[in-house]
Amino acid sequence: MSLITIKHEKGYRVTATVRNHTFTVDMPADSGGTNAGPEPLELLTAALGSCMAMHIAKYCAMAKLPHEGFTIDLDYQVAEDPHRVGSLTVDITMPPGIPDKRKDAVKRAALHCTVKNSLRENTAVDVEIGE
Amino acid sequence: MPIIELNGQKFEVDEDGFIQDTSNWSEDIARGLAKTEGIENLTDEHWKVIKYLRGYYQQYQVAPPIRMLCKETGFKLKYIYELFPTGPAKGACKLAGLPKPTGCV
Repeated sequence: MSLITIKHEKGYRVTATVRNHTFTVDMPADSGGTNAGPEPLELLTAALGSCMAMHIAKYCAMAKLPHEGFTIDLDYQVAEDPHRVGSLTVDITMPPGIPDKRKDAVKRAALHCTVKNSLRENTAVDVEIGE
Repeated sequence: MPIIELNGQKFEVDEDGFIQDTSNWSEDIARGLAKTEGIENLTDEHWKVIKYLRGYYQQYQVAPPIRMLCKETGFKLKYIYELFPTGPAKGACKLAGLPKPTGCV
């Protein structure tokens, strides 16, 4: 655990400092920002994808499955009452050579990642895996 | 409210170019809006996405889940972004005459 500090800059633009890393968070220009960085929901989605990737890498390394260079494409959809991320769509593309029965295990590894476990249970996370 | 002129007709749009009265939608409007998204020609694959979104919205008055869009069109998420560079929510929904999706704030 570490202290994360958010400093307001101007308008929606803020600077986030995490350990020795600093990055800008902003809204896109069409949402009232200056597009100086990703917006919070994009970071949330990226956090989910990154966490899934690490759990997949850990599982594949342990199971000795080919996995270098795998990719994950994600998108989110907003739902209302309350305004929130209602669903996340996740497409995982693995390199060839993973037996079908192991693909289910890779998918399970993704779905049991810590960020996924931290989302509300009514946030749909729809994962598909392919080559 | 900004006005956009497409094929000689004027339409009210929001600041991002989403038409305000979705009942005004037509294929010609989609072709006109495509150019504002940097899409010069709408292919059969673009129309497959647009028509699915349009049909779903007319039936349920909301945009479909992205996964449903992928399954019904047979396109992966990444490919939908190749067809509509601003994505299924902002790009494809705009061309299909759906309301603008909301973001974080």
